[in-house]
Amino acid sequence: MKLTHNHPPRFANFILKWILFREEFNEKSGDLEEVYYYLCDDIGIFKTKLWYWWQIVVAIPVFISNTIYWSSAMLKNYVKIAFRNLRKHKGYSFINIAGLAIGMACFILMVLYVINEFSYDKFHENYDRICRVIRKYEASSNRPESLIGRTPAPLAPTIVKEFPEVVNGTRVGEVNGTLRLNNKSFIEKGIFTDESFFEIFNFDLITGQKKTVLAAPFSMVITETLAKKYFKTENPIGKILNFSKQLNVQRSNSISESYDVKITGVIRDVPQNSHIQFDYILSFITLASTPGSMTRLEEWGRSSFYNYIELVPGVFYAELHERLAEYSPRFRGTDPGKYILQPLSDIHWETKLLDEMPGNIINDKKYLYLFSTIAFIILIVACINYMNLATARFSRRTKEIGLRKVVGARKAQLIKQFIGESIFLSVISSFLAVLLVSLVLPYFNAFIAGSIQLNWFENPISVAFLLGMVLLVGIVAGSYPALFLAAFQPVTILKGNVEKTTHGSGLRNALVVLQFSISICLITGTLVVSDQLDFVRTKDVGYDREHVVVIPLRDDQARQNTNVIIQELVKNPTIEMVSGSDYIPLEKNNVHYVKYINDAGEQKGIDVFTSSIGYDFFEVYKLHLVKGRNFSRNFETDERSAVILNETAVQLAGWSEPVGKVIDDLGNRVIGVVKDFHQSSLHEKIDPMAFFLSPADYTFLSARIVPGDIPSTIQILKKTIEKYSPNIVFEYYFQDEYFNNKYKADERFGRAFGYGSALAIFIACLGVFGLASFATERRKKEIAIRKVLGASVSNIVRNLSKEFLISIIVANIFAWPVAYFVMNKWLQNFAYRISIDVWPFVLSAILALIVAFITVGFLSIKAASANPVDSLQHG
Amino acid sequence: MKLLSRAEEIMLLTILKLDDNAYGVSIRKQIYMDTGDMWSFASIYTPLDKLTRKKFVTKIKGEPTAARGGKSKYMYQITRDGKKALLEIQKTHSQIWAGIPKFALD
Repeated sequence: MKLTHNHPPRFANFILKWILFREEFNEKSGDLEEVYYYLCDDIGIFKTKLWYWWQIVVAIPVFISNTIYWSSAMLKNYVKIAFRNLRKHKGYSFINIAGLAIGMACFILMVLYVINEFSYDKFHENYDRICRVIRKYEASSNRPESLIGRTPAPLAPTIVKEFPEVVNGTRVGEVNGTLRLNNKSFIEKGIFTDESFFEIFNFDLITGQKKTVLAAPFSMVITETLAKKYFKTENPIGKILNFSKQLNVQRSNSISESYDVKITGVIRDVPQNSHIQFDYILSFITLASTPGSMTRLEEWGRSSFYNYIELVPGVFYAELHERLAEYSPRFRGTDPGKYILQPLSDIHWETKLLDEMPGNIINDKKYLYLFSTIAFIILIVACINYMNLATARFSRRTKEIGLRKVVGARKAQLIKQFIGESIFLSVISSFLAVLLVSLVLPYFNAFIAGSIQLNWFENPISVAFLLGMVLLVGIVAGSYPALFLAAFQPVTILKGNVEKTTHGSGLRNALVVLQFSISICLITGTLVVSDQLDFVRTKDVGYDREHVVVIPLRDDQARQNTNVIIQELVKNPTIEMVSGSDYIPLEKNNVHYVKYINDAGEQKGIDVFTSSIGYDFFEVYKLHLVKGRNFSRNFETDERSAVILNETAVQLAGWSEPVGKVIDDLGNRVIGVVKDFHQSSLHEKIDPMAFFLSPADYTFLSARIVPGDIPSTIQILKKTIEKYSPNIVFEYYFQDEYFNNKYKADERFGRAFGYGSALAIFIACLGVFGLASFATERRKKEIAIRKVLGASVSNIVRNLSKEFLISIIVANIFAWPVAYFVMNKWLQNFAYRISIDVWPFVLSAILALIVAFITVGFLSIKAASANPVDSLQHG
Repeated sequence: MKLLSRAEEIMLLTILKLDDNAYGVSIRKQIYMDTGDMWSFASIYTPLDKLTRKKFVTKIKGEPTAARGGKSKYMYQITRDGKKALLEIQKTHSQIWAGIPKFALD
């Protein structure tokens, strides 16, 4: 008997209806209900309800296996159809796959690059507790805020002693030295550091004990590569090398020493993503034992080292910052600089230190964002491409869709089918993409000056990432066409109302416009960047850098004989003039804060960059003096107390008549003013410089040579120098090459833009190609009729291309303001820059038009030349 | 040809026995009477659906009845293919069991 207020659990029925039984719910649930009522009478309502639920629970695993079975049943069909479609339209499929593959490859490379950049210095275990102590000078009326990296030697140990939050500290000083073994000698880059170095930083010691390798003076730890270079397969431990070095010096008295060092350990090569780069390490304590060393380990007056400290876990930078700032006066006396902390994670990024470690290739986060954006854009363009092409292509399958719907396919199933197809394509593209990446990687590594390894399957994260990307691209790119198609009404399709397939063309055109906007943006960007780089290369920098050979002298003997060498060199007709300097010519060396009395009689101070040069230095570089006189052998006092400033320095000092004025406490007197020149790249404003005279013992020779037979002139240089210094390793470089190197980052940027725009426009082309061919297909009959009625091929071509022309013009309207804005921002990086012209925009618009024209033109000509009989007869 | 599974075989035989009156509840009751086990509805419907797919059984929608509140129920009938499958499994069964004496199973 049925009780009207007793029924099977509603929720259970809900599950039955929507999940388990679906269409067969009515019939099957009736069976269950029958038993339910029977059981209620038999064992009671409560137990029956339990029984009911139990039935459902048991049914669930069965349901799951059933669904899988059924889904896989259709899978065979879907795969078959997918393959069939691929083969039927090989051309389109290939375009789609190629586009996606390129987009993915770009994206993968970008991700690899970004990961590599962010991995800098992270291989140190205590990475997030290490920081560098640097000096900060607040902005004042005389000087902008400046950050200086080098600090005095006793800083780190003192901080460790005084601050309980600091658990360890080390100092690092860089050095370029010549290592000599028997008669082999090479110049290598290395560092001086103490035992704590290995405690703070994780550089793997292959042989040797961390605690003892740097304990004794004259000990050296070398890298694997160096060990192989000098000792081949022998064990280098215990062997002796001769080391002669020259520390960065200030003025005159080139300091160089030479002594034997014992190898006490070997470390693994320093990875590329470390900001400290070196090939060997010398024990710090050596510096205490060397005679005539300018770096006394207890001296607070000289700042020649980079100091790093390690904090106790859990300490906040802010607190330590405060306390360090308070203690600074104690360390620095009257110098207004404060000590601040620079976390290890920041060092690789743009830090605006005036004297950064040369091994640290600073990378601006801005570039990172830019490259990532470009790659992302390319991927998006590729996806858009796919969407467009897929939508256009699928419209040819409307009959298939209609039929499927009629025999009972649900909308969800259709969507699944199409998304499945696009995932399938995506997978194929990803294989291609991986192949592309492997091929391109060596070039990419060279491009970004990095060494990225491809470990596809080592890292589970990378596998997951790849899979995720493939799935995401497949789903996202396939979603639009899938949804678009699943919405078709079977009736309209089967009736043959193909006109309905123009549905969505508005969005398709919009996507093409977007693609072209992006391409135009990128092309414009490339043109502007190359303009600026050109400007930078050709702008008058105030000195003549052509035909100047610079020779670094790392050998004592050479340095002592520079005057004789110079005399002999100038006797040669091919060598016009030679001079010397104590540091890389025209580079700022050290920065000094000098006090002086300005025109109003007040005591002021400015930062100047100093440089020690020889006689005739300005002549070699054709720098002109605007006031006063040059260093001259006629004036003996020049050697000790003369200084030449550049115009900027004079301007900063505020002197109207600088000649004769005294700067700093040592009584140096201004004897002349040299015309401003760009000693650094055009990124920065010209700095105030002060030049001192160094009479002899130069570390660098600058020789102006006569253009012509350069190799033989180099030979003369080589022979002469070797004559006076037989042990020297002769090296040289050209000043103009050196100058161009400064723009490496910008060139890279320009090239990235170039590649990016080439790729984007290639993909946009593919897109237009696909769409245009679809459009011409669709309008086959229309074209045929037009032809029959008398239209010429050119008429038809014009007709067909009109659509796309408008798209391109609209694309320009969007692209121009964006390109302008972005370029403006980039140009702000340069203190000296071009103003953005109209012509890059016009040129890129024209280029886009031409490219689109060619693509559409080719297709429309093909369509227009088709025999109308064929088109009309077979439909 | 693939052999019927045990459950499928039992189901087909039950439907055969029930002649025209085979539907979810009656099949379940019959199996209980024959084997002593009360099968869950899931384990009834699964083999039933499989058999339907394999075309050994036809599913017919019955008349809506008042007893079910206006809903109809599915009636199942064995097909010729189903009968063939039963014959085959019977043959296989006797061939495999042939010659195995009782004491071998002690």
